[in-house]
Amino acid sequence: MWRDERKASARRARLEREWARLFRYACALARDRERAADAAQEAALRVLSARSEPADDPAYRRWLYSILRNLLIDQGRRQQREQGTPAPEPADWRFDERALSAITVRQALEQLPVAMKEVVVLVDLDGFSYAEAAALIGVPAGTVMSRLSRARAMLLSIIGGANIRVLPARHAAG
Amino acid sequence: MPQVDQPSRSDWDRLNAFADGELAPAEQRAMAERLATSSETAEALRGIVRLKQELQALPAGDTPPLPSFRTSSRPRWRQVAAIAAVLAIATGLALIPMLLRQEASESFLTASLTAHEQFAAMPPQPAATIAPAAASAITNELARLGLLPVWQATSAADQVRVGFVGLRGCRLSLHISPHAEPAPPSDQPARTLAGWNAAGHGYLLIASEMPPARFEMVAGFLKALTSEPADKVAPLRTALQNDWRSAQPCLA
Repeated sequence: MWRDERKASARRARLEREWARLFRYACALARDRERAADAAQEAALRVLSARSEPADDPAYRRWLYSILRNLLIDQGRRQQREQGTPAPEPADWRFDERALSAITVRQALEQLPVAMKEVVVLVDLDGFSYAEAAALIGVPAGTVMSRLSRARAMLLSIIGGANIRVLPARHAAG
Repeated sequence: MPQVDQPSRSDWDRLNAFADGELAPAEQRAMAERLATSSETAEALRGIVRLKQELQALPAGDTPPLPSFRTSSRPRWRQVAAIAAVLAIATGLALIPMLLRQEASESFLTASLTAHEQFAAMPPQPAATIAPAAASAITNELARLGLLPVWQATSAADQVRVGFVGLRGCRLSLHISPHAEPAPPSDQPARTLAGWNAAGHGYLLIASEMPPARFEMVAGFLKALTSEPADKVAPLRTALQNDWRSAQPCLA
């Protein structure tokens, strides 16, 4: 019985280490902080009460995120997901790096469609590879690549439109 | 008449994948070559890398507490006894992580030197592979200098190693430990070696037969890249790029 207690404590400590990232992912998907907290806590209860959990850390993280993601989908909390939102074409690669402050980046991130924000959170913030993110979301890796590059183009466009001077396109010698 | 260098959607996708270390080897080489000749592309890559860095630096914000979930209704005296036992064991075991850590640090240096020797002895055209995400920012910077990642390995202890080959034959290897490491010894006559800690990781940079002055410049730049804000890195980057243009072939 003590062994069970130690095991439960270890599982809780393991989940604690991922908790902040898991909650951030919930916020990215749910948009509403309160609903994100509900979903994350429900996911935590499912994780802690599961009969077993993956031993290696990458598999454990994928398992955690999958539980949370499926939970949000099952609860119908992704109705506002903005499918097919047009992203700006990368017509001009030039921008002012000085505008890429934490404040502008955070504000721009909040404006992304959920599907784009999700891949940014998974790859850039949480360190998932394209293949891992694709498996989690249930799309091909190429879709993750395309969605992520569109998301970054949109982030740079939002940041540029907010308060930075967009540099003119440079003309190359022909 | 001048023409505008307009990137296509697929170019932008590939450039982002390059920044993430997700391109196939052939595409990665092609992109590195393009970066060496196109200032537009290099500038865009710098912006992507900077955006990634800003995203990764975002604070987590307020997180609600993890819900409490009890699986046992054990009597309180037994819980107290269990806590006392755990504390006693923890006290007794407190020195073990320190000893293990010291051993692991020695292993990191030793394993990195061994891995570098093996990499340096590889045939002139080793099998190319992609660089891991853990080293993508450094990989991108070195690619701009013509140092292409051609070898990588990850140890059971999550130590990441990447080997680079330069256009003039230089061989450089970067080793990243998942935790801080003690400074390496400075008496390494046959090779050039630099170690530093940044953001909770330990880094080792090793080169074979590279002129020491050039190696110091590369090491200083990578150290700044991993630990300093972007405005402090930019001057070092410019100095390194200027030096690289006039660099001589490696000594080997």
